[in-house]
Amino acid sequence: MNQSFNWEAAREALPLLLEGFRVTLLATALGTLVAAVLGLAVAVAGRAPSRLVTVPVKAVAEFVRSTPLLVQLVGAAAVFSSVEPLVVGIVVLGIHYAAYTSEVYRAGIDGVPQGQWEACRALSMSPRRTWQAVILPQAVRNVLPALGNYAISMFKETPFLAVITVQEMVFEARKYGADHFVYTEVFTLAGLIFLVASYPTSLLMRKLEKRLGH
Amino acid sequence: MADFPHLSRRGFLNRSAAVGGLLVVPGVLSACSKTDSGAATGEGALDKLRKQGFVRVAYANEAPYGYMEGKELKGEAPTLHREIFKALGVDELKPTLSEWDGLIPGLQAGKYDVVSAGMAITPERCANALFSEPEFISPTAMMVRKGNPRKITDLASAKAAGVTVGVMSGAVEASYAKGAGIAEGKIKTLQKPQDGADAVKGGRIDAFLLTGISLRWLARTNPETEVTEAFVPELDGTKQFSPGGAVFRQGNEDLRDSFNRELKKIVADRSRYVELLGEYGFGATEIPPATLKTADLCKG
Repeated sequence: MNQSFNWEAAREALPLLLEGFRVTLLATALGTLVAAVLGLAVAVAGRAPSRLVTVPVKAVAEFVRSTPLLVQLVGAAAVFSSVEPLVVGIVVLGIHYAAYTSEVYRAGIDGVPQGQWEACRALSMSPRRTWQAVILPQAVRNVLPALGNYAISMFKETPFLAVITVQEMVFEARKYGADHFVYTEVFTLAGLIFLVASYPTSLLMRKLEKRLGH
Repeated sequence: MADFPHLSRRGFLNRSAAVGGLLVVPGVLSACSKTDSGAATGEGALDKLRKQGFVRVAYANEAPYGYMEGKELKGEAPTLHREIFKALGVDELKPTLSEWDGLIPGLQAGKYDVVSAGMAITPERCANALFSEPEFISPTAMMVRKGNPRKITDLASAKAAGVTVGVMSGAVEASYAKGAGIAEGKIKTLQKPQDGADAVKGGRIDAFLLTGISLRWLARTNPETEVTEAFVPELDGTKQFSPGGAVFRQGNEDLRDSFNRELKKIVADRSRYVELLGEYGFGATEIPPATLKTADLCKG
């Protein structure tokens, strides 16, 4: 029975898992993109002069941060049931992580010395140009490693998408398991694939951190 | 890691089997080792269940196969299993709720004795678990508007009437419809069973193809519809029975065989079968033919 590792099943399941892994990577890449762009927008909006902007933005970000990703996914999938699950998954992942990356950006923006702001004002630069040419390039550079770590973290949370029937790697693993009654092998494999992908990436992030002088 | 307790359990059972054989009839010893732990643990398992007065069953909370309503375990599998185990002298079912993906690992780890979830019997699964003989087959039926205005009875009549049929996305029914010669443009794909019922009610499709079991369950909450008589569909000339049954731990062959003996009596008695399971949408069309054997199904 299941007393030893079923290599044959593992070999048979591997191509299916890798097929699912492509979806995992796609969701991570697009989700990170959404989180990176939206997070920045939230961080900048959080510094808007009017409280009419800052209060709702912060409230929504707080709401997203304080509720579980799984609940958000299932809720969104139920509300937008006519939308492709993968799209719902990417958007929800992106929004969920934007709530965190916005804080990262905020820290990066706060880390830009006050003198830079003052210099911009002294040169009578427009707010747009101040952000684009002076503040953001420094802020983003500071937080790049932290953003990378969130991308890795998101990568490891993509299995939640299986719950809303996105056919990513863990979905494929469950499907193979249910079809063949073989679970240990496929989930071990899926775990290994995650490890092989995320460990080198996190090493890379550590290197990047060093190079940027943190 | 999860396998170790189980391993030692098996080892222990094997050992006690051998010791038991030695003590009682030395001649049995060879039989014991030949059938592994099966001969000794199987009967032993049923004796143990009789003594303790209950059998542990797992369900995935999936209506109408096995589900909890209030505090009562209901559905096709628990109803049959209650009858069968009662006849075997075990009075009570002790249910364990499990995620679908956890049913078989939990069974293998010894958390319960039987899976009461009406699991489909397929060759791939047979290699890693012990199926009972079929408890039911899942013939296809069609959900139509009340009164069946287009007079659809099967796929041939649906094709002749030129009606639009609905199937679930990714489901096997699409191939049945195509196999029966229904044009691709006349086949609509739906995401959920309720979407199919809504499409029938709204007139977007004339018939919704799914198993009779699922459709009858669906029709309970959709009174504007009715379900046609189920038929066994064919794919490339072979009948698709889609049978389901109970699952036992490998090595528990004797318990399964005792179970099969009692199951056979119920399946052979049409009125008793329908009386027991009619409530869950299992009718005479779902009774597995006597020629349908799990051993053959496992060969594929």
